[in-house]
Amino acid sequence: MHYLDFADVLLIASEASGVSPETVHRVARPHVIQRALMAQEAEIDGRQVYAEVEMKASVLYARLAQGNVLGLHSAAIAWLCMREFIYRNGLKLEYNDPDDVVVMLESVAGGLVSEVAFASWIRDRLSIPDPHAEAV
Amino acid sequence: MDDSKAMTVRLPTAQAAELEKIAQVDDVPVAEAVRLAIASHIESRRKDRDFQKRVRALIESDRAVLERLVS
Repeated sequence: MHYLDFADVLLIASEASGVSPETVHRVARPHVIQRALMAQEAEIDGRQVYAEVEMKASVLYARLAQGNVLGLHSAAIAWLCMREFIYRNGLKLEYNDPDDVVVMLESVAGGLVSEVAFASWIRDRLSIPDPHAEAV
Repeated sequence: MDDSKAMTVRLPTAQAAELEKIAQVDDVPVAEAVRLAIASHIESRRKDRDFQKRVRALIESDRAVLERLVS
């Protein structure tokens, strides 16, 4: 499994918000980032708490968005981090309707949809990318 | 005005020991060694052109979603 690290989140947040990574580092909530990243790899008695890519992706998004990592940009940053995580693990998330995506993301960020339910929504939209296509 | 932020970092014991050795060799406090390591890591990510290109492409392709999330 390939995970994002702290610097990755800072750089994604920088691109999303338009401010430098150094400024993001100063104004963001670092413990939210750390906890979200560590939650993905959480273990109990040597076994992964969240084993599947979609569950790890869900946890990453939910913890960053709910933790309000960077104010108004939190959900956007969380979404981009989740997309990057999915890409790094050899998969692609596809969707047809941006409105459908926004409703789900806001519901997860607001605690109205559980991480398990969000993982199921993610799983339904995962595919293996065409190796000859542009990577997004 | 203090423009710094306090953070707690949990490290594996072996890694923490390595960090202390490096700080000792460089004659800096451990906290400074951590700051230097983070700065170096951010810089190396900045130079990862594929990663930057991918994030920017993602922001462009997901613009409809991102603009609604931020509004």
